[in-house]
Amino acid sequence: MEIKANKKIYNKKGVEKTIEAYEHLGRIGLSEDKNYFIIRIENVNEEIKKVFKDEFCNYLLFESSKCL
Amino acid sequence: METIILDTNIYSLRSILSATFVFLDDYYIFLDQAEEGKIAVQIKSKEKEADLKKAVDDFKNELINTSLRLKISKENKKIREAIVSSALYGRVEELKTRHTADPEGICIKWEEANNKASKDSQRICESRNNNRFENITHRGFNRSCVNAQKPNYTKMFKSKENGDKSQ
Repeated sequence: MEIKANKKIYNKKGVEKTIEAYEHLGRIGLSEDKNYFIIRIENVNEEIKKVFKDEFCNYLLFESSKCL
Repeated sequence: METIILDTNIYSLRSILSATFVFLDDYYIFLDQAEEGKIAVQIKSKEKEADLKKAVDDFKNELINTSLRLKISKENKKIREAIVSSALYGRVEELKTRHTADPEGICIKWEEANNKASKDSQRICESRNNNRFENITHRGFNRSCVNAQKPNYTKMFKSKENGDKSQ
């Protein structure tokens, strides 16, 4: 699973805080290119896999706007 | 899932983020850049049978609401800061400068302002001072009386102890 978060909208502090909050639910890796933070998520429990990405994005939005 | 494309020249990123805050409880929202100067807002419902079109309309209304709120807060920023700073410490400074400047001569004593009074032809101030001195001496006398009436407990205990020993 991969999430691409635009750097103009989301900030690094928010991304890091979100990863910190969700890292106990799976293996999460962060890399970045010129315009995007690329978040790779692996080994997530099947029960929460469906909602994981969406919940992660919501939390990311919340954290990024807090750090704005 | 519904997608709205917003122009950042009309709605700032801050107002878009503020508007999404209201919807985070019931919807999944993801933002991305559509083109240069445009943001795509993806709205997805957490419940299967939710009216997404209504959510999109509500989102647009909320967007106008937050934009207006931000605009007003920007316009009133200076006034707000002035009120807060005067409430915290500006008022004290203002009072200090007013007293030191005293352009209308309010702080000058009446006697100083009028030379006739300073001469004190009827010796009113003198008699007042005398009366004050009398009061002070009278008070001093009263205190000495009170002290004389106070029992000296240490003396009493000592005498009692001595008496016990003698017994």
